[in-house]
Amino acid sequence: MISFEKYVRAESLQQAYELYQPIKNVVGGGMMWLHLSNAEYDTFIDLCDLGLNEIEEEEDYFKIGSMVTLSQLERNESFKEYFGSAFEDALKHIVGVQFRNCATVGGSICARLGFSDVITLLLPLETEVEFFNRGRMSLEKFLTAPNKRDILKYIYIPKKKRIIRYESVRKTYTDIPVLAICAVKNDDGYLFSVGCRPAIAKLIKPEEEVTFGSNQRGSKEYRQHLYSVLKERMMKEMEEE
Amino acid sequence: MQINLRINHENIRAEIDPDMTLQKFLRSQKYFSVKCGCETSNCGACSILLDGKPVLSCSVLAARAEGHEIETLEGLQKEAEEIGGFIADEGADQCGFCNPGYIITAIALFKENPDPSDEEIKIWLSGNLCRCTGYEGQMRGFIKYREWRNGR
Repeated sequence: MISFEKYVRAESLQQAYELYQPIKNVVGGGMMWLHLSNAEYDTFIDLCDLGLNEIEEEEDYFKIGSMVTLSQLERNESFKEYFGSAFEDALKHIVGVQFRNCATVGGSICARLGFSDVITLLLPLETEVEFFNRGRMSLEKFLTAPNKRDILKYIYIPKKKRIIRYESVRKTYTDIPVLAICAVKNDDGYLFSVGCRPAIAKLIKPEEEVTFGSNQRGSKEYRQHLYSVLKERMMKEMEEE
Repeated sequence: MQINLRINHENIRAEIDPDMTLQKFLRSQKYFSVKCGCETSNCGACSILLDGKPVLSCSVLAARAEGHEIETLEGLQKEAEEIGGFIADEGADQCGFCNPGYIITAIALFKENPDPSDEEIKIWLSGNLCRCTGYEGQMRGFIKYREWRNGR
């Protein structure tokens, strides 16, 4: 369990950013993974009072506050209209309803976890992230850029016509995936996001090679085999739609 | 630091450590239906309602509950007895340690969706672990509770 001396509810993004600069301070989202660490911090910075817990629907995109919970994403009715059941399919396996009522989209993105279903899902949807200091950039760029001490404000997902599928393989229902794939079909063709390789999710075209690795949940060869089967299956399903 | 919150419709003011979890705080206030299970956000034994939504109290800071409404089974006795009876009738409570977590989640489910499908019940209860039984008893109990509640 993490420990810290001081708890501060940030009153502004500027204050949160400034407090976050010393390495001994930490920003918490839902705290689901963070609280498992044994790290000792001086100050815990809570963003819960900054109005970042809403999903706003604009004409061309959805603007999602970084403190929006996974349950809010899973149950958003407008998402179903634009993304079908993709959000539900990707998030329903994450531990349980109670967990998803706490875990935040910002925490899921900033932690850059290799097994993240959230990142695997958002990558092929042309998602952008907006930070307090660094401004707005694609999620793909953020994932490959050096990590900097900054505050994630919003996530933007454009409203576009596309077919989306999400598939994952797990040893048990609510376990971390052995492999996760989000496939998108739009006017330009197919785009895949492959997560839990076990490295962080990566965007690829169908003809591109993906590199896999081994860990406790599965070998490199097993993941490669799963990927080739799921990719073909998903493309076939989307072709028929 | 000091926090002000409502627990089971009662205003509470208390001194806490800044890094104290809600689970530890609630147990320190004698709400023993909130169990210490895995304490790694997995088992659901510490489930409580925060503003009506089920959450894992082992992963929520007590400081973050400032100004919020907390409900534990101590404040939901009638519902707990009803649902608990159906679980017991199906032999799904060998040691009973996981029961409060199951019941809190079920209360939240039936409040949000009075007539959930079997699949919806499974999805809602998948965050609660039971190490004595095979989950079949709990499922039977909740399905029978649903049928009884809806007069079927």
